Amino acid sequence: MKQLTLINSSSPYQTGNAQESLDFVMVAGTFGQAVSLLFMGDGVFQLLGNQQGKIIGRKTLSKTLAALEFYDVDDIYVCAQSLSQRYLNTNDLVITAKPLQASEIQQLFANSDQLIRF
Amino acid sequence: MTTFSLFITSAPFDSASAYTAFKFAESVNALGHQLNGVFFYQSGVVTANSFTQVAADEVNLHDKWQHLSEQHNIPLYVCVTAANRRGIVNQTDAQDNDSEYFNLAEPFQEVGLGELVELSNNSDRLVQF
Repeated sequence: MKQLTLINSSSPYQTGNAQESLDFVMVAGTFGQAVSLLFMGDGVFQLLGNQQGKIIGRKTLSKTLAALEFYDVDDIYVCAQSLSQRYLNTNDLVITAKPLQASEIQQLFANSDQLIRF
Repeated sequence: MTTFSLFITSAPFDSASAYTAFKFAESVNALGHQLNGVFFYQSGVVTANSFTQVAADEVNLHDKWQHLSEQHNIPLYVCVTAANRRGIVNQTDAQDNDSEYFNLAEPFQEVGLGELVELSNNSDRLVQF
């Protein structure tokens, strides 16, 4: 089996990227696929609490994020630099995501057989 | 020989990546490698719309994929959820929703995302466009 890493780098609601990435990560988890999820760039905004997608006609993603553990998706990471550039820290996040430095992200990619970007 | 699968998330026409993906697929075959399948997801599912009409001097990627698939027996998978939310439906979906119209037909086939997991695991490389 391949080690799959998904990179979520889009803001949560401007495009459908975040929702369709989560759709895929849940299916991958259901199939027992080894999958890691990395949030970076504006993708870190997907992790913020108190989201109200309904107001802008979108499904609220933070609820889906909270359900990931039930799909055996436990390897969740966030780019530390992307957080600090946006004046955020891990306390602002709605789920537990391990902050990674650039060198650790490099290592994550090196250990992955497959990268998919949303 | 390397086995490839393609993961196409870009819309035809709106993104240059959609055409690049097609040229990549042609090259995989031309260079003697094997293309196990193509998976259309996100806006990429629009490629499967058989109502696609283009001007005579423009490229119709729907037709091109159809021909390539038939020539080399390459399965064309389309994520059913991503397709339905973009108005791409097959005959069964149409009947289920009391509509007489449908725009997804063979060789494109509606599948779940699990097929993408399988495709990735069964190919040396999955390339996203």
